Amino acid sequence: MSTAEIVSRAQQLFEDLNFTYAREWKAAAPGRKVVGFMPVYVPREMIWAAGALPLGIFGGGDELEVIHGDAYYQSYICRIPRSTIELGVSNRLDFVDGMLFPFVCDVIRNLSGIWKIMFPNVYSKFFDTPQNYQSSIGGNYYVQELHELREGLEKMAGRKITDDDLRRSIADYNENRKAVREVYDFRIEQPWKAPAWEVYLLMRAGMVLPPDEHTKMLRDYVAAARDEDRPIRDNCRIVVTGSFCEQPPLNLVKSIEMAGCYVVDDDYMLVNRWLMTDVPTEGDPLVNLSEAFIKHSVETACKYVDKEEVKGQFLVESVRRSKAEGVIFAAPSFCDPALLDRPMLQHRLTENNIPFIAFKYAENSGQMQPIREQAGTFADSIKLWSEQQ
Amino acid sequence: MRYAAGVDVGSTQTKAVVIDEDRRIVARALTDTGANVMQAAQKCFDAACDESGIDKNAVGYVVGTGYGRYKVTFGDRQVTEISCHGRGAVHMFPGTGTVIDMGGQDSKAIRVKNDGEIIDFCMNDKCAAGTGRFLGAAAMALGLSLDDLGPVSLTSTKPVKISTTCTVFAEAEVLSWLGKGKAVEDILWGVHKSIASRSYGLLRRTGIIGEITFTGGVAKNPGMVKAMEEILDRPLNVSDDSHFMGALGGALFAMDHVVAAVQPARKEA
Repeated sequence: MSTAEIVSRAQQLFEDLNFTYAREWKAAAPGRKVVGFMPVYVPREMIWAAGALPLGIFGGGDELEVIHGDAYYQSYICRIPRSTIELGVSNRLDFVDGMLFPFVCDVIRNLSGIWKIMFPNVYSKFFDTPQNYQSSIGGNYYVQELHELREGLEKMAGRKITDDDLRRSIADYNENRKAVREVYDFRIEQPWKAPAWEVYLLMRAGMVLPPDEHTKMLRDYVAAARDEDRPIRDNCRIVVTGSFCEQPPLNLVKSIEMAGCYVVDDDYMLVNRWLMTDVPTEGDPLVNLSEAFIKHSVETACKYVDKEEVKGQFLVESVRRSKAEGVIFAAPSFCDPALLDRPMLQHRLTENNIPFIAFKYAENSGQMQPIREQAGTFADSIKLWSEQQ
Repeated sequence: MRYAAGVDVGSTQTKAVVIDEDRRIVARALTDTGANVMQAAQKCFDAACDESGIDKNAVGYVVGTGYGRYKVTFGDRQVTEISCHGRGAVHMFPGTGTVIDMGGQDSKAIRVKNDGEIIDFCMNDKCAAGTGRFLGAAAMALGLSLDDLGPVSLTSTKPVKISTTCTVFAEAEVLSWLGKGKAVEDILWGVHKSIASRSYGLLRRTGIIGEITFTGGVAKNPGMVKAMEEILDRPLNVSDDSHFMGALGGALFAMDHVVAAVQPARKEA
């Protein structure tokens, strides 16, 4: 299969706001359930172990007209909760049996409450991840949160989630995370063969496909992309950060690259890469998931970093590992976590002589000219002046 | 003699500049961009060469810039207009540390090093307030041509305050002041001051260092120059070629390639 065919399939999944694939998956066998989850991270292993399909609800994108959703939020709130409500009230999520709202910010926390009131017959939970990263404190708390989630999902699914169910599910997602890393590593190696928008769609497909099917899609893509001959463009290499919750429109992802920047790392769909190592499949699965979260998860704005000297080091490492020449901060308008984090991260980059620019977007931003101008100037400043030195 | 050119395809006008090895402007041309952007770029470049008698084949390298830079299909490279305005402004006024570029659809504040390298920049990102379009809306409401706006505004004696920053609402506010019997020149000066304050906000975000050079088509408007000088409380560098600054910057980048024979494409790391 060619990359074009694989990407076309991923794009169909991305554009389908009726979630036909998930509906058909559910209808294909009796007893199947679908559980929606919002960014940034939920342990999908638990949902999958319950015999349910984890379905990432990452807003409505730029194709969804928000009519009802605006009535629920003030003008200074980001767009993702509005479009998520729009998806709900327009019956696009009427097949979803449960909804998880992980801790991102107060807006998403409040959305979980709104959801409970609006859809009282749907299992919904505010999944409160710890902000303390000591195993004996935050780790123990997180194990309890996982117990609570397990009980909720068992009740919803009408079946027990055994430890063996969980271990099998963890193994599926370990394999999926490995395939995700293979795609990102391939792009670092040959970014001209894995354009940012294609990788974006591939990762987005993981929000709706079962882990094994997604893993296959990723591996097929890398195999096909390696064999394809694509021209090397005169682009610089950059890391995009700040886009972990409300997603940029696909045109924005494309525009950054068109403006002269190869994206060699990003924080889109971070749930795919949240845990940076395999989760052990031996022993207590809840403790294993908790330890992986506490000790081996990525750094992002909705995680508390208690040591100032450590803040931003993850981003610096990402720049070094991906051999990037600069960073683009692209955050949704009114995103408290991303925008509050930005000055601290910029300070860290300045200390390390890493150039950066910053802009904001909404998931329905339509005017890309200013984005292209800014990203293009950033690329110029890296390319033109490095040539002259 | 070897030449290099820059073609700046703007939202309303396309500009072309040809320079020689001494980096002096030897040809320039200005055309309306219109609907066929590719044709406008070619036409403008041809006009610059034809009118100055320069053989097009002697132009060793062409840089396309402006919003339509990718439509300069005969060009060798594309560079953004922010980079080009910064480079052009420093070339024209070597003491430049800050550039304010006001075009038809957007405004940009740019901070530059003394060799033209961009340190920081900021542009209006959401609406056309603080751009030439704002002036266009006022001109339409007052029934004046764009060329008359500056000179008329400078005759103001009792300026009004334009409170809206929205281009769409500005027209309504201008009409409302007319309805209250205010003089055209007083309303216009208020419009100029409103745009200047928006641009000042952009400059504050990047910081103001060194001399300030005013570039872009709106810099041809003497009322706008005065309004900016008043709010900044200092004189601005304004060239007669202010609207060619982007094309000039493009030509300078192009000449770097001609002189140094630098390959246009970098090798992958």
